[in-house]
Amino acid sequence: MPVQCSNCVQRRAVLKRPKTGHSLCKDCFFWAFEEEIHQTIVSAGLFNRGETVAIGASGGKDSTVLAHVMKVLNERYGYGLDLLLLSVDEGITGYRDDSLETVKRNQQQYELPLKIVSYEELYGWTMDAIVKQVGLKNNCTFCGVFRRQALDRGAMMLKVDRICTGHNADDVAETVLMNVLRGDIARLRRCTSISTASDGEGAIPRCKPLKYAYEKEIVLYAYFKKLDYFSTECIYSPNAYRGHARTFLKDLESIRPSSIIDVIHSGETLSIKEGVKMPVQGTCSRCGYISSQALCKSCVLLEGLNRGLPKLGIGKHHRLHGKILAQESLTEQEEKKLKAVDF
Amino acid sequence: MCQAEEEYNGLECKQEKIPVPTLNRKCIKCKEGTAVLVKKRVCMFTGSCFKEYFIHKLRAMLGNNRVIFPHEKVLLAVSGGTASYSMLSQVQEVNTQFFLFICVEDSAYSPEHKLAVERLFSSLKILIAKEDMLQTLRQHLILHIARENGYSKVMMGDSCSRLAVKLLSNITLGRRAALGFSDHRYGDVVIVRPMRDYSFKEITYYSRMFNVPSVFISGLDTKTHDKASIQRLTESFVTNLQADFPSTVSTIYRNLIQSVMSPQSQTAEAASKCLLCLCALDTKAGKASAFNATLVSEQLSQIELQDPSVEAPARSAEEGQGCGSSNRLPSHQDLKTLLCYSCRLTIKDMVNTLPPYIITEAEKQQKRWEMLLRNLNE
Repeated sequence: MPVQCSNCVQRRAVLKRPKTGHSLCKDCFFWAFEEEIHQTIVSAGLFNRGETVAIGASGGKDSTVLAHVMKVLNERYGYGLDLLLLSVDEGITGYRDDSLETVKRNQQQYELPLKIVSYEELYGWTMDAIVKQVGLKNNCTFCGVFRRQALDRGAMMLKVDRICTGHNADDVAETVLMNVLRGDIARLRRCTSISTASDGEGAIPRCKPLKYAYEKEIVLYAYFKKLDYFSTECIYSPNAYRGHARTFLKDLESIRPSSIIDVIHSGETLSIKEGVKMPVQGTCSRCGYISSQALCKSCVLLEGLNRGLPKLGIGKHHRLHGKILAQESLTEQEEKKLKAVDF
Repeated sequence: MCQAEEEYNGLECKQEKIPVPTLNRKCIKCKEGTAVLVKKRVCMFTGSCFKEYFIHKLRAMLGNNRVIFPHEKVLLAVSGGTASYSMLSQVQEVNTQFFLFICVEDSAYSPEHKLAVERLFSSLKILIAKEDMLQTLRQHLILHIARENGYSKVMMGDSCSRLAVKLLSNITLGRRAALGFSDHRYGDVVIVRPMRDYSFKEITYYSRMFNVPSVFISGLDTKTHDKASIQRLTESFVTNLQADFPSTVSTIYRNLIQSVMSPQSQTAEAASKCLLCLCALDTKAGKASAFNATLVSEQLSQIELQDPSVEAPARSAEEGQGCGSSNRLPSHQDLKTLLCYSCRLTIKDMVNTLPPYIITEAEKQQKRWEMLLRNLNE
């Protein structure tokens, strides 16, 4: 017996929503999905009228869906935003060069201007070269830190007011779990915010309109809307610690689908005791980027790479920051520790 | 592995050498006797040194926290497992002023009570809910006994490993962490966890070496597969991760329990505490929150649902859901408004099979709300 859509009751249901378990027809699903994102944007006050917004586009399903939905909602509800696509080329052969082709196609399909920034031009290193030096265990740290700065630099070049990224509910839940497992209280407090603070100082605020959208629903949306996206995983990702949190989350979801939102809820309602030391936001003394230490993380990592000491920046080396700033060479013992790499 | 050396032009790959424990190593405490057990790679003790270290830890914990004072009446909740029996034997070594211990058994029920309990648990469709409800009821029982007999402090035997698992599963259930050394959410009764610095491994060593008796009682999730419930899954996840990353349990425990504020320490009057778990209610969150997102999704996926953004319990009378005199049993909708986020999920499939004392409390809270609203309207 065919099941009717639980919203319009007239049409036949074609899918079961992973989030709520309701059976919906195609149009009701599209409407519900887009409407939820609209509600998220409006209730969190993510955008202001007349702003220029850069959409972080990687060519993957999240950013493609984000670009599509932003365009649709901008027209439907008249947000009055100027949208454009911003892409980062990390220099991973066989992965990034293919996904960039997808982004270029998106540019034509959605008629949005596109800017691509690359690690090569910003830092002088590609991810492939970094992995050769660092190995397969800590390379995700390099990629993540560099990408964050690359997005900001690109946005500053384009003079945008805001950046939005395609982080979905699964990503945020994984981040909460990962921060719990690693004991990172400072990040745990910040990671569930839907947008970063916009207190000038050269830091462009960024937000996550897809924060409450399930990854499965994003895939369903992209599939039914026949959107063009690149669906291969990064070749270096299997060794990342995040993989453990991810597997756990997927298992949780199979037991109870609402777990993803439950984890986000826990993350949002956690509060920190008074007297617990929190990092203070300042600026990097070398490049002027925001940082809670004397040197920002990417300067430290770059220094390590350039000197052939890949472990500088992985682990706690605050005491060496002073030496690096002063361009001194490190003692032999310090060098020995930092050179070691485990696979 | 060998290939790496070629790429690095002859730089040797420095491998961290893990010392392999050999026989006849000296104890690190007294440095005289031969070590008989290994706590963590290089920490080796003789039997008596280990006992000293074990008991010293408990003494230090009780002394530093200043919650339990000598000659105070304390209730020890002993389930019969290794951890709680170790706690009992330790406490006897430290101080003989504590009284009474209770065993939480499942066999001492009259037939009608047994039937009622079975009905309650069979109405909870999934294992997660059953385990959650069992935990809540057990907690209520212990509190009740403490209050009846005039105990102001209760000691529970949760080890560090058990607490880390509980914490993580609380987070995945949508419950905030609430497992510090002393738990003040019950007002007059304080729950204390003196075993929280011991890993389960240490407790097992202690009980084996010093012949502490224990009984294994199978729980709801014994011999179930990994994905039977969230609690079970979390336990196996943490245990497996601990094998690869030995600092997992201590990281979770140390950072979270000691940095995160327990939800009950936020100002919470009696009217805004959850009916089941007695934590401060977290469902009045702002518009841009995960909770609100779930309500919006429910609304958008169904036709003509009543407005879910209304949270005051008194409104349920207006919604036409069997409104009438205040003597009626609280409906499912009313109960939901008196519960926190995760307790709502637990009773999702359950209808009117809660124990009478909870229903009475629910009615009381409802009346309080109605009065409050009436006063505001005047």
